Amino acid sequence: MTASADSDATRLPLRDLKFGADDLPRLRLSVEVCSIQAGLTEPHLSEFLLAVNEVVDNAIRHGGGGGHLRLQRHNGVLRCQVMDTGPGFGDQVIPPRQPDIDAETGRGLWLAHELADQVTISTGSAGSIVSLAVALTEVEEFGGRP
Amino acid sequence: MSVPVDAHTVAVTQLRLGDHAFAHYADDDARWELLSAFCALGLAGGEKVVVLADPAIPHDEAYRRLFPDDGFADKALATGQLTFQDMSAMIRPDRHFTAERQISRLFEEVELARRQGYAGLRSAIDMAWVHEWGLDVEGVMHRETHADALFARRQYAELCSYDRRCFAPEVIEAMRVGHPMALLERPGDFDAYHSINGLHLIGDADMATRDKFGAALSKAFTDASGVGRVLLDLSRLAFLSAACAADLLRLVAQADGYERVDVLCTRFHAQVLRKLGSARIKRLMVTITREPT
Repeated sequence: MTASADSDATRLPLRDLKFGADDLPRLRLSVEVCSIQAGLTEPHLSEFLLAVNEVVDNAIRHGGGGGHLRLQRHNGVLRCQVMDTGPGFGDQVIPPRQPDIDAETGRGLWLAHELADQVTISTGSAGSIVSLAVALTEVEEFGGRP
Repeated sequence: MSVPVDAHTVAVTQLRLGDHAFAHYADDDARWELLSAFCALGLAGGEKVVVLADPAIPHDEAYRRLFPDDGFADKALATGQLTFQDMSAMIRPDRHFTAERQISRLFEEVELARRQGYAGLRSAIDMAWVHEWGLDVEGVMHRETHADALFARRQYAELCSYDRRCFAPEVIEAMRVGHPMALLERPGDFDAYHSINGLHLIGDADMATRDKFGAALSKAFTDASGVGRVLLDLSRLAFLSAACAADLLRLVAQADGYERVDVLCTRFHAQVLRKLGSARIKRLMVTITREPT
């Protein structure tokens, strides 16, 4: 994928949303709409949506029941940060190999790692921050005419 | 009143230009959520969007309900990509509704949208205007079932949303059957039905719907015991989470007594199943049936 040049204005969040367990469909739709507007196309759009879902799912189940999602575009990269209020974790929780079908945990983050161009996990002031990034093939102005 | 799901039921997020869909609601949250998803995806995809909301609701209120996120769609509204209209604008210069006039006007609107550089036009129509105008339901039904030329070039999509509190159950069912597509009530919903071919899964399989998804799969295996094979049609699943995909693979792997389990799905869902280990299950045959467009 080829990165496109963005202006500094595009560093502003495309979406900044709090979420809880009941918000997953709304959150996915919101991320989908913004990602399409940012220029993300199939199959990368489906891959990114699933990766975001898995990180959000993880935050709901293990990170205090909810969190905060920020979607941002900069320098031809679409980045989604998911912040939770759980006990925190490092990237050692991502299994190095495909989890067994019967595995209870680790599958979602492993799949997110497989699907996104980059996954980073860090510790924030209140919990963990998982950041997913995907390169954009083309960039259109938000809400603009084709 | 429950609304059946069947071979033409899909999720709102799967609608594309060329689609003509029936939608239904019985509360205001569902009403706006569905229309909002339809409109937002159209705007994001570079389509022109026309909203014909309930005539009793002012356009600015309809805008706030459709786009509650700060600022979203403001630019589309300012540039004319998003417009709010009354049905009277769709039949001008006539004063009385005729299906012919409305379809003719919609053809003009599609042509205009294309000339303006948009990919096409999508209309979100709350059918409350039928009552407002005192129209006979048969006339509307005739329009809904004979408008196929409007969609043939795949430059126009239409969502017709019916309030189950205002239309009789037999009208709702006739409209559901009469449209080429019918939608699940809300974005994020999941449903399933069994046919002689197997189990058909529709909508979103995620954390919220995982139990229902698993129950539908389990029932499919129970019902097919003795037959030796099961077909699971995932082609209308709009979303499949890792946990639900793993549940499916686990059930197939444990389905002793079945020689073969067929899964029909999109290329992307086949990729997800493969990443999660589908190739290691000998009885599982994955067939790609439909591509997102």
